[in-house]
Amino acid sequence: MKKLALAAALIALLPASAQAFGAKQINVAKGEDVWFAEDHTLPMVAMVAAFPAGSVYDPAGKEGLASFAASLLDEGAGRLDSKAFHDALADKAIQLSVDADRDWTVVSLVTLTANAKDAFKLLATALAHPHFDGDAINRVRAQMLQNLKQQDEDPSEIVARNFHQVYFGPHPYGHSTDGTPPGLVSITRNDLVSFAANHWVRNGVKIAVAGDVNAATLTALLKSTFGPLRATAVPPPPNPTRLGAPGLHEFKMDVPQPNAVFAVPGLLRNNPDYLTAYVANYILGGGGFSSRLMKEVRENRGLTYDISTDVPALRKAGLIEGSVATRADAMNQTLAAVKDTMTKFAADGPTAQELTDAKTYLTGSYPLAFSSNAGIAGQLSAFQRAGMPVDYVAKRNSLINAVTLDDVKRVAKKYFDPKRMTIVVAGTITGKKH
Amino acid sequence: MQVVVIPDHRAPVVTQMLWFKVGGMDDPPGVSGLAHFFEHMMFRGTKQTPGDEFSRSVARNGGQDNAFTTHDYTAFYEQIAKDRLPMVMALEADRMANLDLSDKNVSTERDVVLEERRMRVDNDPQSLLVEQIGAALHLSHPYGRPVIGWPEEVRRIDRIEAQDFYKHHYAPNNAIMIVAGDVTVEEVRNDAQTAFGKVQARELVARNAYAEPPRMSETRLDVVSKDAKVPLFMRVYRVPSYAEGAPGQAEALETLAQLMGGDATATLYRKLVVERHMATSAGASFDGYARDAGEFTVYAYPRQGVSLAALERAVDGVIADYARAAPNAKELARAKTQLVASATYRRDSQYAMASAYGQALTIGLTAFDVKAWPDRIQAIGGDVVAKAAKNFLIKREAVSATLTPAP
Repeated sequence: MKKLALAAALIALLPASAQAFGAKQINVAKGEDVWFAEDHTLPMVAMVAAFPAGSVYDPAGKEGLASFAASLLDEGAGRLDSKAFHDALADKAIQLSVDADRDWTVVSLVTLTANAKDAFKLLATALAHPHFDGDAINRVRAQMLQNLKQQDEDPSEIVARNFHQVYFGPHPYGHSTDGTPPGLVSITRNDLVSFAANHWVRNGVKIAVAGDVNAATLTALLKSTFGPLRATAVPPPPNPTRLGAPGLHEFKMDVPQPNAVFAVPGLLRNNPDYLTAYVANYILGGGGFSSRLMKEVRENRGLTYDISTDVPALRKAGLIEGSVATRADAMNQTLAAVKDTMTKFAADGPTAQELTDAKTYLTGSYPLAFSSNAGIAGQLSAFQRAGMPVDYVAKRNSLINAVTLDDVKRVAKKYFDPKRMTIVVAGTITGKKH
Repeated sequence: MQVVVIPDHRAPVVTQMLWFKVGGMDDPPGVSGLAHFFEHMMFRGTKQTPGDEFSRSVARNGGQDNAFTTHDYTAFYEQIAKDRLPMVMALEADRMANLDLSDKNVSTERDVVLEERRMRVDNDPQSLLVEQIGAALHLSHPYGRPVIGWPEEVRRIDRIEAQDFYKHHYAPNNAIMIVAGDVTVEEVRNDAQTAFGKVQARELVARNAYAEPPRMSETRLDVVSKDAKVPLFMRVYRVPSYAEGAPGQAEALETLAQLMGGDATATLYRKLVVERHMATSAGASFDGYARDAGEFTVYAYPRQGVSLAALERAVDGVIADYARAAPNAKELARAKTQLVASATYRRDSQYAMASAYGQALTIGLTAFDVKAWPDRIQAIGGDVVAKAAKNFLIKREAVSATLTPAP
């Protein structure tokens, strides 16, 4: 491929005619937030449901618990053992996947319309009556431990793991969502049962649905799926006490191409400047081949295949975070080029033309995210998790168009500061310092 | 130039994909990686759209673009608001005919490709193993060379080589255009005529036809790697593809792969991971969209304390069962249900639809073949699946490989 797909931005991209798509909020029951986009073109329904059940809730010493529980969601529930549950999904071609990130456990369900009732019923059983059967626990634990071991050979995994450790320290954002070997080994069935009971709950769940179903039918399906869950309120994650450890942290590995992750403290999603920083980031490193970093590091110098930055907003921490990989003897030169490019960007901000180009891309590409049921459900869910109201779907492009050149210059100066940069490298850097 | 239109009026956007019938198998001897390298050069500008202006102007218009290369084809695509379709067609037509190749661009892009190779292959012991398996699997066919190229050969690519490649492969008479999205056949016909009508056809170099000799023995590849942390068993069989096979053969192999290793209900996972606790994961896959041979892959990662030899024997046992008798009727029905549903789910994505048609047409199939695929899968009987296992999953036509972490 010529380039890697752009990292999924927190706010994905939107279209010129935002009024063409919309979502409505439907009222199912207290505690659940449901957004719905109805379309009967294809005989299928896609749902994304996010529970406040991310790895930030892993207790100390039990790292990996959220992911462990997520992996067991389809391993037997109610009257179905693991085998019967998987058979039931496969017999109707129901696609159920579950994944924990730092803040959320995200459940994705895709089904043919004809099987929608069965699909939601299976999910309902899995959420309310999971078995956490001993054989499945042992199997999944072995798989997760093996996965960690395999990650040890991959510098892109090692750098991500160590970056979070260095940046957040002992805060639960500091460990990998995949857990740690001692954490996984110490997790018991009781831990899993109580995690599911306390976090797979209807209070705080965000549900996005798109496709071939009407509001009345959907309301009934969701009531029977999420209604039986406990209404327990999940406390917000703790605030981080550390945001970065400026400087270079090298984790030595004998690999042909070391990987680097670099970051400065960024903005929470509810910061009024967030969208301005989002636009600024597009210009610096979020915009693929239109970005300054890609131009400087790849196009002009041939130092890397891919370089990008993003403005991820966790619930309790925002970052301006980038990654790059290059051969061992070019890493110093590459990191110097990154810092120089950011320094200049912070000092002068973008040009008027760059800002215009950023806006036409970010607004013009918005409709692309609304061209499929799966895409719509994913996009709506991302907005929900970011805490946006449902009318944000329609307003988003006008908010981007309202960002001014002065706004971007101010925000670039305030946040895009390489002196505060934490840099983590997995690999062994050779060659002279720059 | 053949043009296919796939209307989808749900959102005011289109996906344009331009497929060239040239890929890694057309790399000249000694210059593996040239077709993939050339895919990169297509983004390096023309007189009218200089430098990196191609991607910039797509982005400025709210679009996304990218490209990919396989052994058989090279494809370029843009996803954008529907009223910008004429614009991206004009951009594609321009770079099809007027690419501006300079020495400086060639040498910088060569470095970029070598970084891409380090990322995708050199940094990853499993990828290196797969690359070695491919090389060992094909005695004569250039499918044995990696699409991204052997590093020493990538370093040899120069401007003249690139220029020559362009002249012989990039022309409307070697291309297929797929447009999926909020358009009609008439609109696309008009836009395509305006954009591509003036681009001259070129005399193409005939593609080489390769005749793979029969293999006389199973090939084994036992790699010990200091970079690997977990052991792996993998075997790849050379099998008929959709283009090359007799009717029904590829469909039977597709069904067999789903039965044997498609998901958590499949036999390799059930037997080796769930029941016998021998593996942490195990699966199978069939890659049948190739102009010449297809590939059927089985793999398994052993659980701690299980030897690779024991695991391989267990995989062989599963394969032998399929070759011996027709599969369980319920399991066969389930596998077919999933394959047929995948064709429905694919309709949810302009990109997936355009890819399905583009990939089929570039290897010589027809749009009708793509449309009728679910029916052909539905018609596969258990005896045909057993026959495919018996006739095609034979070790002599495979490379069996293990990856072992160095002590």
